Amino acid sequence: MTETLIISNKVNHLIDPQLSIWGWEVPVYLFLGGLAAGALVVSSLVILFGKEEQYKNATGRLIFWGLLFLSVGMGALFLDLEYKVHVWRFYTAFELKSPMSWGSWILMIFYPVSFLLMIATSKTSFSQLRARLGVFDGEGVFAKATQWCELKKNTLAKVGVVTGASLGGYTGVLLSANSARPFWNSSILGVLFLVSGLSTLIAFHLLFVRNHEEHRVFARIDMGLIVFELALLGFWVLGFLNGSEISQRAGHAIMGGNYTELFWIFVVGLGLLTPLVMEWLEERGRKIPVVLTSLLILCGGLALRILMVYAGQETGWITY
Amino acid sequence: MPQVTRREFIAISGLGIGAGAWGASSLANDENPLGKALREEGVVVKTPTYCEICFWKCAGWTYKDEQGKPWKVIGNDDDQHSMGRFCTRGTGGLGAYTDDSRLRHPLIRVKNGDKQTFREASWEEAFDYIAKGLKKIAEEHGPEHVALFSHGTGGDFFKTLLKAYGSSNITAPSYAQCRGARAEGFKLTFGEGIGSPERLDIKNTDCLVLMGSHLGENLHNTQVQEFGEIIGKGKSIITVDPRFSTAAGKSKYWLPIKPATDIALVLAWIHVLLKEDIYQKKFIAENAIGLKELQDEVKGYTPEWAYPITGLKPEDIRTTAREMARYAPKTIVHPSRHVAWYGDDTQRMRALAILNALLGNWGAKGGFYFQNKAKVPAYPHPEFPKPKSTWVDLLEGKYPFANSSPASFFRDLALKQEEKDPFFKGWIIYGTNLIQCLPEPEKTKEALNNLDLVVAIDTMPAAITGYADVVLPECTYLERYDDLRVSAGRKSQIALRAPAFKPKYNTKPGWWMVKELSKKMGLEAYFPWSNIEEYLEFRLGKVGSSLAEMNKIGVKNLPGDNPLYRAEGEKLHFQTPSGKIELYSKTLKEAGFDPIPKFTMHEQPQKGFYRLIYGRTPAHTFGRTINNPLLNEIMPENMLWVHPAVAKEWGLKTGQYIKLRNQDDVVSNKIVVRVTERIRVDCVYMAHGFGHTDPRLKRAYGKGADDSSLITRVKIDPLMGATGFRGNFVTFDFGEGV
Amino acid sequence: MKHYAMVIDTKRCIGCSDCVVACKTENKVPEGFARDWIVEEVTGSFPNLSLEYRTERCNHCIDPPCVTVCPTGASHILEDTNITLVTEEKCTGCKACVAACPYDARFVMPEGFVSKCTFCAHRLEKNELPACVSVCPTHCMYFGDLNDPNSEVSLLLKTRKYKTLIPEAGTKPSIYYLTD
Repeated sequence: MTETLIISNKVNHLIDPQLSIWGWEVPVYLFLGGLAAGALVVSSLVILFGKEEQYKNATGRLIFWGLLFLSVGMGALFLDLEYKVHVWRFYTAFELKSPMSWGSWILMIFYPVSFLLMIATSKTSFSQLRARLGVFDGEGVFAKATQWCELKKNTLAKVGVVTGASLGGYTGVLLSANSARPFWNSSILGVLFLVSGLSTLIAFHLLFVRNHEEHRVFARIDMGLIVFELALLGFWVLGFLNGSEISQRAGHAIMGGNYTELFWIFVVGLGLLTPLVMEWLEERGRKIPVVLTSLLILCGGLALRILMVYAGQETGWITY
Repeated sequence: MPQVTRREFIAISGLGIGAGAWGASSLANDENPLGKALREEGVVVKTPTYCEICFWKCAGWTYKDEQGKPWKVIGNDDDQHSMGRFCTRGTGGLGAYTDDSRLRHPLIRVKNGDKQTFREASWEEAFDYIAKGLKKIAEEHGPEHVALFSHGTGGDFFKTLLKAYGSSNITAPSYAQCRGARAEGFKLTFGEGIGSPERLDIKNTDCLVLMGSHLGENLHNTQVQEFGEIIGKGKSIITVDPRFSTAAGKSKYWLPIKPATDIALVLAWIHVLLKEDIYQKKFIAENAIGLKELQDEVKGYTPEWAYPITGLKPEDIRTTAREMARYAPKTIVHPSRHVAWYGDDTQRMRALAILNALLGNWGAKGGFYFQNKAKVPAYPHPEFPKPKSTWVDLLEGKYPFANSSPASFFRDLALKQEEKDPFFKGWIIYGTNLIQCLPEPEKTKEALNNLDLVVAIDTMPAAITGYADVVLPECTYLERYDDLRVSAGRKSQIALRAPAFKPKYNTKPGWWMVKELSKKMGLEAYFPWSNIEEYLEFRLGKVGSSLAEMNKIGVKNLPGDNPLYRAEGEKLHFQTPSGKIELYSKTLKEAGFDPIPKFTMHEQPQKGFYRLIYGRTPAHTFGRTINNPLLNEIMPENMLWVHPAVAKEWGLKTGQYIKLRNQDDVVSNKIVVRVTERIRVDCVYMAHGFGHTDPRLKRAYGKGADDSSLITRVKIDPLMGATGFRGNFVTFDFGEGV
Repeated sequence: MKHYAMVIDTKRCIGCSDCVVACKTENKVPEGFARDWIVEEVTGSFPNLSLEYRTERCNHCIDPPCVTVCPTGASHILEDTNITLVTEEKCTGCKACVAACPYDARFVMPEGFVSKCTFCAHRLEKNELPACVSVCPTHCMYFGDLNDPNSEVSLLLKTRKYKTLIPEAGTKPSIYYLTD
């Protein structure tokens, strides 16, 4: 028997008796950041596949939502900062090895790229608004810029795919880069969060799709993403089961530990399997309320991030 | 003087306490070195002091930082007690100064309708009150009816005051509650005690035996440092403890003895040494008497005899006895310090003294060295009046070997006994929380009720201050001068304590209180110096130093040291009646006691009960430091150690709270359980000093349990009045609040 | 380049927490926070037990993940040493470094910036030992430069058995525990 304890009463706030540095703000940011990433990737792909006319709501408007999500997410992230007046310090340095530094600079690229793509697709996405504002057409500076955007649309969309995918992956890498937290320390997390971001964004998009054909295409893509996500989660769990002792201890959080129900019932069951079955049944012609499917996917995505952030903080190398 | 019928405990004074939110915030991070690799070099000021957080009195330096703010306390490299390193508590000494629960103003008890409360008073008023009260007692009963309880350096000035007033009834809990039995046991054997700090040459020893000492958990600085040194050298350490103490964890041999059977083990050890002829024969032949009687006495005390008593295997007893003999005379059997356990403590100490004698370590390198002590003349004062009676008379022949007064006997003299009026009418209590350090606190409270005048002098609102009529708030040792430290050790050394900071609030040094009180009492002739600087200058001048010099160096070695060890073939003289080490004590025989210690079986716990053992923790000095912000952080409450088998039986888990109930149905405060292999199944353990009952102690109040509140069965040593604290058994109580 | 290291003799350590208090006063660490702490480890069952005390703190790793993850450069390595420090003025309190530390050695100050053990860099510059080392009553702590083959710490590691904490985390910690 081994008894290990700290006898000098270490009670550092947020650290002891167990790490609790990140509260609701971070999972909310990761969730919204994933949606924003999905928005940029999906809309850019729509442009690149030349489907802009066909899926009018899947380009500029989606990007607009993405910007909104990201801004709210960054607001949450800001709330999490302990030294808020130093927030500008993120942009006085670029640290090559720091995922968070990459992340903050990706955000800086995300905004202009999204903005330019919104302008580039404004003819199809915001035709009425564009007509009303007027400045985008004719000979003015805005009009020239708009023309440039429209000309470079495909290039911008390529940058958009990369930027969006980077942001989506980054939300996972932010956690997985911590070898100190075995629960996070899996290279699957980057892809997992990107896929989850795409899947949740499509679920969000489906809420607004009225066109049957568009619905069918996006629902199919979503089903594929969910299957992929399930596979990734499977590999992730296998990683714990086959891992070192410390890894197994970390995996206990979702296999018998405090987060077992959250993971298996809410993330896997209600957040992935149920909507997958619902989408499949819909595909087979059953009437399924799309709002329910989408909400389940969105809640599942949020639950995944809550699980990750909270459970990850509870695992570590030291047990005292 | 307003007549107070029942002396109610006043926990919260509506006045004064809590005003001004100065506190630990002064330690806040206004100059954090993070990021600035270098703290800018400013003027750092250091002032000499010697520590008052415990009785070891290590000398060091109090630092103020570049901004003149209190910073840290660090040991003085030249000091023979600290050797440049303060212990945990000494390092945390700054917290005594910053503690915002400190007493802030003189307080006088007043009746407010039905309620009693303290009112903030001026020093003038407080002194008038005390002087009037003392005068009244002197006139009506005589000055000897006033007693002084004293613990700590500043108490010495109050001792002078009491003697000048006409009473020699001065006591300290450290005698009957702590090391008195050791002093008498050694005096009866070697003709003298071993002092404090003890004359143990630990750093040169080859074999250290700890029995009742949990060195490492008590942080008697010099000894801990030397202990570390011998651990580093891989010396042999033998620890006897029902608990796997820190020291046991460093030991070659751990003997997890059944509590209350120590004498049996010591007698068996003596048996082995004599039987196997491995004691220091030449030394004993030259220096001791009574070997024959000892041999006859211990003949039957074989390790096999001791086995069922102590639970220790005969081969382990033999092996450890041989280990001691192997390294003798460089073997020390540490007699430990708080030895008031079972009522036969002087005899247990005698047994240890005899064992040490057989190891020939008296005056040996690696044994008990001969101490040096600086001779610093006292400041002259008129002769004290001769009291009509002293505590010796009051004892009426009880405790014939008491060379100091037992504090709980003083307590009992304030109780009605057989319809006799209580003897004591007034108590002055300096720096000791009698509620917590005397056993049977209910009796102490009753005694306090009977008194006409109770004066408490303290820095903290310890529970005892809540029972006083007048509370005099002393400034901490970091804010005051005190008398010189002149303690025995390897060198004749003196140390100065000078104030590093101005006294906070309306607090004053003890010497100033005494000086002012003496004027009110017409006793100023006994304090013929105008201030402490003059007093110190005089004493220092007599040994060729000065206040200016001492302020620069802090400690000074005086010339004329005698050798620490006996020379080869040196004839030793002992201050016993025979002039030799008395293995057999005729003195004891004549007084009707066992001339050689005998083992008596003590009561054992009934089923479902466990012996309550308690001890020290490195972060605290008794209950005195629990509220110290720096030390409280390290250990805010104590834990109850419970063996896993016991925990299983009772369904206890680490981290849960539980209360303890003793065999007299006294229930403790709640305490958190620690299930650990580090303790026997027949006892439970907690660190002493917690469970404070005074809400004025912001951090300490209600945290942890107080072992002394559970000590209702006191076993008094008939030889000298030691109050044995280990006669209580406890069981678990799942009552309210746990 | 100096490789500052602490070598702690667990055989001598008695877990007294003096180092913790000395650090608090020296560095004016506010109430409720600690840059170092004591761990007690009991192994075995009664009466065959062993006991280890360890004073723990930031390991000033050779590969410090806390420095790698910092997005602003606040968490950095002191030039020509392995001492990791935090520049208060650059710290945003994002806590990435707190999560990255396998030893849970970092914490957030009330003001919002991250703090931890500095190996008393301000004392080293004056040729003084870290406060914890200089106060230890059992002299169980040693401090020095491992790049100097004749330093006390180098010699101790050559002659005694030792361990580091969580070497598997791959951070190359600079605090060594002598185990026999």
